[in-house]
Amino acid sequence: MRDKIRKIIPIAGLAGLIILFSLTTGGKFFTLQNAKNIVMQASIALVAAVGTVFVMAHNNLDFSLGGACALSSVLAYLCSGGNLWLFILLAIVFGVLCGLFTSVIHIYGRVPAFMGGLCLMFAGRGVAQTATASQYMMIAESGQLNNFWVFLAVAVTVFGIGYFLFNYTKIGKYQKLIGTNPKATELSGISVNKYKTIAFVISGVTLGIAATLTLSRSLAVTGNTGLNLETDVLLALSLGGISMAGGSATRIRSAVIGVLTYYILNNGMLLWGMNPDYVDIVKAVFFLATVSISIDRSEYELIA
Amino acid sequence: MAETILRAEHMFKEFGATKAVTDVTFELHRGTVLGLVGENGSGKSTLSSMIAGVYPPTKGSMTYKGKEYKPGSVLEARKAGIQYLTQEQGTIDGMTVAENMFLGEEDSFGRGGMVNMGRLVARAREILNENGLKHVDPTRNIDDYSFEDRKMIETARSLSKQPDILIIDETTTALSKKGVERIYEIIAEQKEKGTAVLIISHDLSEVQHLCDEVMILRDGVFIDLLKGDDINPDNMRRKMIGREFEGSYYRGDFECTYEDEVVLSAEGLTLDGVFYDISFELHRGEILGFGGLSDCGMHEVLKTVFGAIKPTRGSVTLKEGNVRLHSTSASVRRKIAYIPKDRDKESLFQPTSIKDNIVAASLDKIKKGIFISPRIERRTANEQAGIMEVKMQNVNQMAKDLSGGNKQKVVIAKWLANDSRIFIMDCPTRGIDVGVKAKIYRLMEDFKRRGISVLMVSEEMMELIGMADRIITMKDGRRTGEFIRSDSLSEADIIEKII
Repeated sequence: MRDKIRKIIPIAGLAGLIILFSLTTGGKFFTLQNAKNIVMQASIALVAAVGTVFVMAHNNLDFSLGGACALSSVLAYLCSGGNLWLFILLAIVFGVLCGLFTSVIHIYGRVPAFMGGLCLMFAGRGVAQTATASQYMMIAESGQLNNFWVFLAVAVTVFGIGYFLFNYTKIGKYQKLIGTNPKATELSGISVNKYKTIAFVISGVTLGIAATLTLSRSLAVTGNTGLNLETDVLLALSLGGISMAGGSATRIRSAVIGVLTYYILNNGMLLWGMNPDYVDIVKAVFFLATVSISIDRSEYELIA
Repeated sequence: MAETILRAEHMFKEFGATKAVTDVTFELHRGTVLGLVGENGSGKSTLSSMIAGVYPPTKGSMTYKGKEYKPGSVLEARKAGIQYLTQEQGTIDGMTVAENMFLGEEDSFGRGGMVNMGRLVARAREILNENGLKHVDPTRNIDDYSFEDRKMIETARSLSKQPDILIIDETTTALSKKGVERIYEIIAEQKEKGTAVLIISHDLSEVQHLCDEVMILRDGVFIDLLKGDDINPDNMRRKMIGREFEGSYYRGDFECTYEDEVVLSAEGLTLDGVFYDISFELHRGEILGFGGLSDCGMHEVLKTVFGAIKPTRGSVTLKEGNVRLHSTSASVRRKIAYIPKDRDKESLFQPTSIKDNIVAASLDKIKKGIFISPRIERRTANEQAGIMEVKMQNVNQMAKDLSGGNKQKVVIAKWLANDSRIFIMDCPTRGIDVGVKAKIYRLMEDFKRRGISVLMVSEEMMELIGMADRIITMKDGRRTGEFIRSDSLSEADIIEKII
């Protein structure tokens, strides 16, 4: 019973927010234009979240997202010479390299992946600040991607492929087994390190795509590219009810539900006319409330 | 009858859906030795753990020295005068002998959070000397001493304050003859002093020799309380098992039968510090057993053969295709199955459905291209769970809610689903009830008929003698002997080679 409530909370929370904002914003919330706005904002985080779900399913946290996004954007810009299509390709390549960096640190250095991720986050941020200070990295033609339908198509495609890989292939199924019991996974003849690495590669691909969408919004790589992406994604996934310890309970739908909840909450409160600084505080409270209801505490129960 | 010191009434203990102990009532008396006997998984250790404060009963009450008794921890039980010696290591590595001996009682050696180490060490030395452990230095790390020494240190500690109840849970199984005799002496001394002693043992002649009363448990239920001449191995065994088995419990034949074809061979396997120079050949349709004490290295040999541990030297070769095995994934691809000793930690995905557990090792077989069809997954799981007769509602049920025996069935089903040709089994019947045990034995016989080979480790000598075509014995990481299946092989023959 408790399990059922736990599972239903994220979706009920999302539905509740939609109803609340529809009723309290004088019709400003429930318009096509506003829906488009939310989708545009949510798409970047959703794309990144899909990859992150694979990493979280095997019980790792990826803190690198924002820094890795900035780093791969800068490197992709420099190597592509301003060509949009080359930029997209290279952003994905460098995204994958960032993922590999984190997994190598994690697997061969035997430290939790979020350590490697934290390093990448700071290093990437530093590189982006330095590089963009001395050079204006604009790709004007990326603006043609800054379109509701493009964003929607990318988000739906990425989620669709992610959904398939996560639920109907070895890649996703093994992540869940590893998250549940890594030892039993290895002893069932599954290479834990190989599949963990695959998760980071997937996360790298989605990161590269997210970097491209980010570029198209501001037409240029800036010092703020990808800022707070990791916290946005992790908060959103938590709101979506993702299992913090990974394993069999991990559901990829947490990415959609969570990201929508997160951005609708943001959007609705701004429509209320709330001071953006207060919005962050309310988000924190809402986050704490959802997570404390929906988190699976069986991990913390003392087993005698 | 001597004075009753502890009375446990209507004791129940459930772990999830598993009923470990059901409605057991019994008494312990001063100066009396009570034996607790039953198959693995019959609830013996669970019952004694509740008395020792390891965990509380689900239902039921205990009266100790005339008062209600509800220990909150092992330490509390110990302070109340109930000492518990287990088969597992009860000391903590990385701490000194003296620190281990007074764990949780440091307060009595100091004031205001400061511990007077000098007094603690002096007291430890005193106790060690009284117990014939003069060679043990209380200031050295406990890990510097052998398993047997550590066990004896633990025993000395338990007796340093005169206990009112002493529980000995299969402590003698891992000790040398000298150690076992010392334990017997201690039991006699304690009985003399009026201590109530509770013994758990699989060695029925030991039980006959030591106990005044014997309580029989089966599947967590009280079966009988034996006294006097009723305490004999035949009688106990019959009551433990509870029914005559159709045919025999173990294999019916006493011939060593296997085909000439070698399917797997190990050459000079060495893992420094654990085992040395282990070589053997496994034949088609053979059950090859390894016997020894738990820390003799045999468990690690199996893990190494499976590819989960890299040996320092030596190699494992699969004859078909002449491939060297070096990883678990390579082994599983070549249809080798591995059933670990520690089921909950190493082979089961607990908060995961039975279905996902069963298909975990055979997704390569199930998938079409990269697509894994949920329909085929469900069908495979239902098929294999059906063959193993897993007691469940449906395959979507969580594995953690199954009983020990059914969990093991799920683990075996996982390997059946992959059409495994070689089964590496580490204590395959550990902690499971008689019915499931018999089922596993029948399955092993069936494997032989179908030309599937089994490499098995067991800590139960009777199981090895009863099932294996050949038994290789190990001691301190080295091979000490080999026995061929015969009806004249006795436990004593094997024990001689492993201790």
